[in-house]
Amino acid sequence: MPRADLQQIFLESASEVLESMFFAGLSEGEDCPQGSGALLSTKLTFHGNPSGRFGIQTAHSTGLVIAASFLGLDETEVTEAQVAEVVCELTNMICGSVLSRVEAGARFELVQPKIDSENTDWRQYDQAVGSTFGLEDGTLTLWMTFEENKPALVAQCQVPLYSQTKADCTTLC
Amino acid sequence: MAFTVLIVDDSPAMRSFVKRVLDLSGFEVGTYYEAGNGKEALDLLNREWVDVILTDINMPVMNGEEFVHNLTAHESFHSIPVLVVSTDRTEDRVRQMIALGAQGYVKKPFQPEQLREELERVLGVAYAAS
Repeated sequence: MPRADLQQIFLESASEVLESMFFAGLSEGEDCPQGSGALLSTKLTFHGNPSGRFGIQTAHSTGLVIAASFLGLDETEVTEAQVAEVVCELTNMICGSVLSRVEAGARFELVQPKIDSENTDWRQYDQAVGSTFGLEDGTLTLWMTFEENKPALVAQCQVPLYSQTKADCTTLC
Repeated sequence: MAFTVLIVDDSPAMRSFVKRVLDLSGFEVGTYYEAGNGKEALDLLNREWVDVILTDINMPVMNGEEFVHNLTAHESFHSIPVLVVSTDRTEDRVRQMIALGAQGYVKKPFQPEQLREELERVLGVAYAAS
C-alpha cells in the first residue's frame, strides 16, 4: 500500500480531533499568534507496523485554552495537571488518527503519552517529519518519526496552513 | 427515563468530557459513576447497579478487554450493555471487543451526537431483549 503524504495526514487528523473533541478549528494565514508562556511538549511511542514516535508542541497558553475547551471550564479554573492531562489526551487521539490513515487496518499499540519536560527538539530524530498549524490562540506542531528499518514517508508538496518552522521532509525511496 | 451510567477510563479529563458531552447531547442521565480501570469498575458494580457502561480499552491494572470479558462471564453483570469508547479505530479491535461481549463501539474522536446515538442504540437493543 502506498504511503500518503504525512503532512496532509497531520492536517486531516488534527482537524478532525480538534473540531470534534476540542471544539476548535485550524486557522490559515501566516500571522497566527504563537501563544505565550513556556513550551509544552508531549511524546509517545507506538508499536506496530511501522513503529515509531509521535509528539506535539504548543505554547502553554494555547494548551490552557485547549484544556479549558475540552473540560468545559473557565481558563482560571484549569489546573496545571489538567492542562498536562488534556494535552496528552490530544496527543493520543491525533496519533491514533494519523496511524489509522497511515496504515488503515493495521494494529498499533500506543504507549501512554507523557509530558516531555526537556522539550526535546524533534528534528534530532532521524527522518522526523513535522508540521505547524495555526489555532485561534496559538500554534500546534505535530511531529512523527518511524523506525529506521521502515521507509520514510513523503512529506512534500503540501503547504502547512501556517508555516512557522520548516518541516523536515524526506523523499520516499 | 434517566439512566445510571458508569464511565471507565484512566483519564479523569476524558471521563469529564464524556459526561459533559452526554449532558450537552440531551441524553438523560440520573447518576454518573466513574472508575479509573476495569478492576475499580468491577468493585463498584458489586455495590451499585448501572444501566450502561462506557469503557476505554487501554487502562492500567485491568484493561478494557479483560474488563469486558469479566463482565460477560459474571452472572450479575453480563446483562449490562457495554459501549467501548477508544482511540483504537481498527476493525480488528472492534470485532474483538464485540466478540468479547461489548454491544457497541465508538471511535475517538467522535461527535457528541455519535456517542448519544450509539448509546441509545445499545440501550434500545438491551431493553428490547429483556
